[in-house]
Amino acid sequence: MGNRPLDTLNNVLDQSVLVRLKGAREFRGILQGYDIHMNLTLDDAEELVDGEVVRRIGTVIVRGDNVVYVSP
Amino acid sequence: MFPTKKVQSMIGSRIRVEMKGDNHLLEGVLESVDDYLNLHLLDTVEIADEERLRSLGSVVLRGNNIILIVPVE
Repeated sequence: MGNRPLDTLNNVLDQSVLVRLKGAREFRGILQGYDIHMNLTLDDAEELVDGEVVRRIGTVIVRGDNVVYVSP
Repeated sequence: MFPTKKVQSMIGSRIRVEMKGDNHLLEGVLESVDDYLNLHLLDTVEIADEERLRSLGSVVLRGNNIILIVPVE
């Protein structure tokens, strides 16, 4: 049996990920943690619009139901 | 660190919360949080474009409306 999707997240803890949210918002940051709802903790997070950094936030918690995808 | 644990570690500190369907932010001192990510904030103010709109004091937020939680330095 292959890895489950959330195992993939487990394999990229402490690495940089791109997170796409509903409403075409994107964040990039170091994945510090996740849970079964796909709630995410990101460190050194920055918000991107059209691929450009629009603000740097530091630590952020993203609620899972807004997540469209997480790209390691 | 699990996201819920991270939020619990913020109890007693000031946080900013972005809610769905709302251009306003809520900023307040996190008093408590539960498994649904429902939050109880104290000394809460409503903020739009870095301007304080009004003071709400004690606010209980329903977790399903939350998009982002950011600690305030």
